[in-house]
Amino acid sequence: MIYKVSYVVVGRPHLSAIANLDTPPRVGDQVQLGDETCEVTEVIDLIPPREDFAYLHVTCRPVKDSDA
Amino acid sequence: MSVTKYFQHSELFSGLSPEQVEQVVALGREVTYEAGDVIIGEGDPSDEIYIICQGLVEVDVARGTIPDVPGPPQLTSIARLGQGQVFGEIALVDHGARSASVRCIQDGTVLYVIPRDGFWSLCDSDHHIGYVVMRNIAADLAFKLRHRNLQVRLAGGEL
Repeated sequence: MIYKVSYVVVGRPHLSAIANLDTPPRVGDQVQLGDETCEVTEVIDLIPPREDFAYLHVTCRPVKDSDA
Repeated sequence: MSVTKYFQHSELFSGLSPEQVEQVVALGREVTYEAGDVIIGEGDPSDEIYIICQGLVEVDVARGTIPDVPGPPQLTSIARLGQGQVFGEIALVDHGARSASVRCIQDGTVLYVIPRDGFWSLCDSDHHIGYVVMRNIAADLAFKLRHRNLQVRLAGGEL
């Protein structure tokens, strides 16, 4: 299964991204969006899976230096 | 990973056999970009579609541009696209000018570039390939629209 993921960072819309992953994202994961590190806070199915693809929406928050 | 393997991991070619994917691969070429390189410019003529084999690009639109005022436009990032994603598909479908600029933001980003004319010729000569690819482009555009809707919903008044 390939996971096509829509990332949106709350309060930082310009950091949003779309990428294909081999493993599903999970709450608590840290993800690098360009030069910003963000933490996954929610993962939901965006639309039903089709063929080899699952379609997920991930909500993130920026990780402050003090969080890392 | 070979280009064909990358393509089999891209939604654009989901539903095609390896032999059919090879026919598409034969049309294009691989290009590597470094961070900061502008890949396509908003308003430019369009004749190619791009598939991201690895790396990251940023899609920007010019905001509040006034044609008679000199100086660079203010760019607003609307999305970052990573491995397996496609861009340039809007102009592939409607033959219009580029609707946004795309800039490489990660060194060593590898793209596969397919000329529009060859791509359309293949779709015209093999209607199964054409149907599958166009269905997948429609699904990709729908996903991007859903992504954009969520982006607006969670923007916190910043868009």
